[in-house]
Formats: sequence, C-alpha cells, structure tokens
Amino acid sequence: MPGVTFERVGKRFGGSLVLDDVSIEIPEGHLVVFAGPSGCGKSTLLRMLAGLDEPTSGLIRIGDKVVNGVPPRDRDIAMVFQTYALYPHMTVAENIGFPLRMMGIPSHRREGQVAQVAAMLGLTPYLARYPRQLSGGQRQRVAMGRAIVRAPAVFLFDEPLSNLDAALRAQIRVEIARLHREIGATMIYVTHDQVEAMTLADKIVVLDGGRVVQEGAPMEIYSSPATAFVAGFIGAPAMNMITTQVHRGQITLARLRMKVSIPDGLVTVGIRPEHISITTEASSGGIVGRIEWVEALGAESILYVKTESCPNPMRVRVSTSLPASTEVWLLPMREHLHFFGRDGRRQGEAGALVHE
Amino acid sequence: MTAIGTFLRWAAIALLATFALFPIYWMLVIAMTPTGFSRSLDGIWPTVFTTENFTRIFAERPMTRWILNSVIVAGLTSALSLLVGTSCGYALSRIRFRGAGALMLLLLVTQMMPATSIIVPLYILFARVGLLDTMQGMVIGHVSLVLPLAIWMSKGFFDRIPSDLDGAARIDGCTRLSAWWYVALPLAAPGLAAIFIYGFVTSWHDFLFAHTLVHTPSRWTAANGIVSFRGEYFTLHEMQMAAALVFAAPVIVIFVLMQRWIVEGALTGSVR
Amino acid sequence: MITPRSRRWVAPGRIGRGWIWFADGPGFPLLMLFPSLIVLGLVIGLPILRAIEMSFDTLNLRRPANNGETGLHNYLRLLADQRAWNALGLSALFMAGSVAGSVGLALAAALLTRRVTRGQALVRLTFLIPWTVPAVVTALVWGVMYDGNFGVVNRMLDSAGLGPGANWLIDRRTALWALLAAQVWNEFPMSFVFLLAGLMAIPTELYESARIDRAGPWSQFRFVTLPQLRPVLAITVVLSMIMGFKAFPIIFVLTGGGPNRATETLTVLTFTTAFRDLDFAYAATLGVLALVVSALMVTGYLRLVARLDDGREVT
Repeated sequence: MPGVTFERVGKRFGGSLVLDDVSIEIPEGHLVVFAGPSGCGKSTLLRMLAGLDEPTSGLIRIGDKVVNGVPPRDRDIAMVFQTYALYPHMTVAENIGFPLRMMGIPSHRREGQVAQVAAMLGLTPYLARYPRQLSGGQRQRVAMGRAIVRAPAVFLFDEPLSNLDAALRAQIRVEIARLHREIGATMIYVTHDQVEAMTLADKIVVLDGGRVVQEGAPMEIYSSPATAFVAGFIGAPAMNMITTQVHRGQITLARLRMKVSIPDGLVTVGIRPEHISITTEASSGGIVGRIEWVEALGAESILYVKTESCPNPMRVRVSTSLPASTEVWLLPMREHLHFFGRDGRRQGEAGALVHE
Repeated sequence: MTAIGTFLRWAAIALLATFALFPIYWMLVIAMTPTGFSRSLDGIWPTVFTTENFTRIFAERPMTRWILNSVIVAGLTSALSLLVGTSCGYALSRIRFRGAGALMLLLLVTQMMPATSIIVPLYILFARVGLLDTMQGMVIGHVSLVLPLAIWMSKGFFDRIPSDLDGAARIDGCTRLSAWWYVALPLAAPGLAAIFIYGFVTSWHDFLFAHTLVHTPSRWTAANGIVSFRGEYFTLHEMQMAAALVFAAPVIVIFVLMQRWIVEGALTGSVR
Repeated sequence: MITPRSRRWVAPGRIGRGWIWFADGPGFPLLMLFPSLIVLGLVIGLPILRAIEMSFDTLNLRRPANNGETGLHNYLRLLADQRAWNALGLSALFMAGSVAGSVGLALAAALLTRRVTRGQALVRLTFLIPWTVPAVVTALVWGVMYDGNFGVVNRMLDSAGLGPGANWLIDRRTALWALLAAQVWNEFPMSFVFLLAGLMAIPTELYESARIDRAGPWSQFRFVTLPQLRPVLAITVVLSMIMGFKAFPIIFVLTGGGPNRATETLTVLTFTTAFRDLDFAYAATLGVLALVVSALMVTGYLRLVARLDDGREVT
C-alpha cells in the first residue's frame, strides 16, 4: 500500500496563488486529515491528488511513482465527494458496480462484488433503487460503496459529511473510522470540521492561505498549537485569546500577574475553556468577571464571562452550571497557557505567579 | 377583483383568443367545406362538410411524396445536427478554452442573421457542385439553420449537470470521452430530445431553402408544395388549405400535447 | 472483507500515443469541437465568405456583359440605389411595426393571463398556438382572409358596419399594415412567453406594499410592473426587432414585395434581385448589407444583456 507525497506543490489560478510550496508526506495506511477554513486550498490539494486538476509546480507521488499528468483512472484512487456525485440515471447496484464495469469485469462477476460491498454498508435492500429515492445518509453510503468496490490504494474524502445532519454525521464518522481499521488503506480526508479532524485522524495537516501551518497527531496539535490560528481552529468552543503586553518579563491579566520567559512587547495569551477553573469566591490570583450568558448542554455548560482583560466574553467549560450575572473569578491553569507573538507563533512559557 | 373587472378581463381574453384562433378555424373551414363555400357570402359557420379536399390533395398531387420529403429532410437535419452539436456543446460547457466566448458569439450571430443573406451564395455554391435539387443539398442548407441552436441548447443542458459527476466518472475509470458517453449524455437525454424536436420543427417549417434549392416538384418538401396550389389565374383554395393543414397540423398537435415541456426547453436554450 | 486485488499499475506518464490523446488527453477539446467547427465552417462560413467575395464581383445572368468584373462597383451602386434605400427603410418600418404590435399585444395578453388562476394553462396554450403555425401557412391563410372580394376580413367589417374594407394586399396604402397584422399574429406568442415569465417573477410583496401605500391599478403598473419588467421587456423588444428584420415568407408569399415595391423589405429585395433578376453579385451585396445590419443589432443586444446583468437589475 503506497503512501502519498506532495513535494513542493503549488497551484496558481489565473492571478492568484491558491497553494504555495506545500510539502506533505503521508505514510502508508494512515488516515490523514487536511483541515482548515474555506479557501485554504485543502480541496485543491485533494483534487490534484485525484487527477482532476494539475499542479502548476511541484510533484505528487503515489507510492514512489510520480503521478503528475496521469489521468484519474490510472491512479488507483477512489473519491467520496461532498455532493456524493452519484449517477442519477443508475440504480444503487449500477452505481457501485460502475467502476468494475469500466474495468471490463463482466456483469455476473460484478454482481458478487457489489453484493459484498452493499452488505458491508447495509445497503442490500436498496440495490434496485435510484439515488433520488434515498436519504442523505444512504446516498453517502452508496458513494462510499462505489469507492470501496475499487479496492484502491488511496481513498480520498472531500468533506463527505458536510451535507448531513449532526446525528448522521456522528454515525457515519464512526463507520469511516471502522472502515479504515478494517481495510487499512491510505486515506486522505478533507474537512473544515474540527471534530471530524480530531476523531478520525492519525495525523492532521492544518492549512491556511495555501500553506501548511502545522502537521501532527491530533493531541499534539491540540496541546501545542504552533500558531494562534491553529489554536483557534482546533478545539470547540474555541480557545480564549487575550492580547496583552509583556513588561519586564511579566504579564498582567486583571489581578493575575506572572513571570514569563518571553521578550517584552505585545503577546496574545490563549487558554482553552476546559482549562479554566472558576470560583465565586474572591481570589487574588484570578481574573474577575461577570457571567453574561450560559449555554446549558446537559452534561456540561459553557459560561460566557465578561471580563476587563478581553473584549469578547471568555468561554469557560464547567460541569455544574452557575446562574447568569454572578460575579466570578477565573483561574487559568498555568501549565495550559499558550503564548503567541506578534507573528502568531508560539513562544515561551508561563513562570511563577507574582503576588501583590 | 370586482365582478365587472373579472368580466372585462375575460372579455378581453376572449377577444384575444378569437384573434389567436380564428385563422386556424378559418383554415379548417376552408379545408373541410365544399369548393366555394369560403368564398360565398354565406357567413362563417359552415353546415356542410366534406373530406374531398383531403383526398384530392393526396390523389391529384404528390402530397404524400412532399410530406415524405419533409420528414426525411427534417429527420436527417435534426439527427445530424444533434450528433455533431452535442459534442460541441459539451466542450463549450466543460472545457475552458480560448475562443470559447468567440464561438458562442458566432453561434448567436448566425441565429440572428436573415437566411436571405446566405441563400444567395449557397445557391451559387450548390450550383457549382451539383447539389441543387437534391435531398442532400436541402439537408445541408437546413443544418445551417439548426446546428447553431443545437450547440447552444446542448451546452445549456450540459451546464445543468454537476461537474462532480464527470470527476466521479473519470475516477471510476472513464476517459473524458467515456465520461461524456456514459454519464453526461444519458443525463442530458431529455434535453437532447427537445433539441431534436426543435431541429425537426425548424426544418419542417422552413420555406426559403425549400423554395429555392429544389425545383423538381417530386422533390419538394411540403412547405413548398402547399404554395403550388396558387396558379396564375386562380387558386385552389380548398386544396391549398387542406394541404396547409396536413402540413402544419402535426407540429401543432405535438405542441399542444407537450406544451409545458417545450416552453421550458425554449426558455433554457434561449438567448440569455 | 474486501481483499486487496493486485493493483494494475499503469506506468504513469503523459498521455502520448494513439487515440487516447483524443479520448482523454490534450486532444479531447479538438475531438469534441472539430466536427461542429467543420460543419459550421462549411454551411455557414463558406457561404458568408462567398457572399463577401461575390459582392466585389459581377455576376448577372440576365445581363452577362460585365460578368467577371471586380471592384467596389456593387457598393457604389448600392449607395446610389434608391430601391435599396427604400427597402432598408421598409425593413425598419416593418421592424418597428412588428415590435410595437407583437410586444404590445403580448404585454396585454401576459397581463391578462397572469391573474387567471383556473384554466391558466388553457389560456396560455391558446395564445401560444399562432407560434406553432409555420410562416408559409400563416401567409396563405391570411392571404385568403385578406381577399378584397370574398375575404373574411372584409366580410366581417361589412357586417360590423365598418364600411367596405380595402383591397388589403393590393392597395399600396394598406399592404404593409396587412402584412404586419399577419406577422404580429405569428410572432406575438414568443414575446408573450417571455413577458409572462417576467411578470410572474415579480414578487407579490411589491404589489402588496404598493397597495398599502394606496396605489391604484394604474399606479401599480407604472411604479411596480414596468420597472420590474424593464429588463425582460428590453430583451423581448430586441429579439422581436431581430425577428422583424429576418421576416421573409409572410412578405414574399403574400405580396412578393409589391404592390409596386410598397412592401419590398431588404430580405425580399435580396431574394428577388437574385432569383428573379438573376443579378447574383448585387444580391450578395444586399445580403452583406443585411448581415452588417443584423450584426449591429446583435451587438446592441449583447451590450444590453451585459448592462442588465451588471447590476442594473432592481430587486
């Protein structure tokens, strides 16, 4: 099973540079997620790997073979589209069997393989139906079936779950993970949803503005985001960001003062909602604020706390809710503080607290 | 809406409808009444009907032959235009190439220019290569009328097919050509049928080429045949109208049966 | 479970040899475009080029004395030709009349049809029927109706007490108008379809708020309908103009350009110059003139469309 390599890949559309010198290595058998906001180039990368577009510079390899200029049908890949791209004029069975038909496999042998794949995806009762007669989730499964039946070297997923409702999304996410465990093929998954990224990926590649911003295992990206952008992208609710000044090696957040090993100047401090403890007792080391809004989610609640340090309300995750308008003190866990410099990159660490 | 208002509205509609339908009614009257009725002053509501005009046009004139010629020419024109036009329409729809805009402009212009401008040189050209007075010549002439519209309309229909489907087909093992054949064409099929009908009707209705390019009566299409009932001194109105009806009726009937579908197709393929 | 098959690894590389270059490679656009381009070139391009070529030639089979002579003489002749200018003017008049009649009638029909709820399909169908009749047949039946002695038109005018009707197609004063009536009958459904679609696209909320502002039906028409309809109206007018310019069978079959050139539009003149006077080169010149005029109209149409698309559209 070959892995995939992007080597200094660039793509220019007319005047604009969509991808800039992107190099990514995807080991065999891994499920790698390309994550990022709309327009970051992740779908373009996928399409170029599929052969639907060609890079303007750089090489793409599947295994050790360069595939630039090779038509999609010769690349031994399969793709699941966001819009499913099922052939409306063919039944489910014909859709799934189409790749086999293109390979020249006669129909009696196709039937068997199609039936096998259909059984795997729970589609057997629907084989004679047409795509328009199916629900979104069923259509997505047919799209996956069409990909699976080819038994390709590389599977490509282009935001396959965006058109589904939350419950279905969760369900099919699990199925995709299961598929990966069972088949073990190399899979490349594009999404802007960080939940999908975190749960499915062996490795996440975060892209922004046509460049790779960070790559690593999910937990690595979660706990050590390389830039403020990545920090804000991964993790929901998003990380709280506070801009403040470093003065003589110290920063002050409301009543909280601590030493930091960062040069003087502007710095953005980040802390995740789940890494703040909250108390209603006046605390000398905390950031004072008032609860503006509460989102009660059942198992936990998100409190939106208005503070002086931060223009937006800070988000805090708690297991027991508190009423709105309560005055509270926020205590960020020092070991989970992130610092980002003016250029967005992480730097330094928190030191000791300085007491007044 | 007040009662008076509604009444006036329906009165106006009735007036317009009379305007729209009367000529057809009159055609029917002339064709289905004995000779001379329509020219008498006996009012406009006939009481005596006959089918002799219809039988006469088939017996005394080569009406069957003419209709057959129309069918053959229209069928060939439409089939040829469709065959050639759909590949061009697909290319215009899917491929970004230099000159695409210019080509579409050209197609538009050819639809808008008067046929009299090209009939003159076409006649001379045909005379030189011996295509005058032939079925082939007629078909070629009609293709000039039909092909641009066929290309334009098929592009419109292919535009409606999501391009993801082409991508999926190419990943599934198709070449661009087989993606067109196995996926795009079947999906555009209803549109292609509409194009065929438009092409057929355009060729069927044409008068200019029919009148100019063919002079042997047995090779006329019906469009030209029906004019032949006019003589130097008198016109055989009844037979003429019967022939005109036989010529025009199929299209009218098809239209009535498929009205909604055709109008939709017209607006899709229209110049916009 | 799915067992991996032995993979069929095609040696990757650019598509080079053979038919595959057309089926999948850079030759694909060529494959798809070529047949059409060739046919278009032959059936349209070639004649047009020939027409232009002929316009510099002399080819008169009735007066073969100067045949073969080349130069600008046809164009010079055109400039001085009273008959040609007359034809151009008549074409313009016919176009204007055709537009006014077709669009006016179509607008009236569309306004009437729009509010009909029950039976709208039938009403629409009725108004569409004249379009389905071929132009030749239109000419023939209107020809019969217009007959001075026993034509229905005159008979109905008589019984309505509107005096003796004219000899519509023979009288110089009435011939063009008679033709226009037939043309409008044949062509108004096309405008009707467009205008009806345009009317139905106007959001009803606009009318409701106009009514709240105490606007009566005429004000509603002036301040809601017309402005909203303007883009569609403009397109319909231009298309109708172009159809009016192209018109041939109705005029040719009914009057042949007569009586005494009262209805000799440019298209009819081109035709008779070629096939009656057998002056082919000059006819080609007239054809080129018609081409230029229609090209100008098409440019106008495209500019109009571009301007409308550019955001002049009111919501």
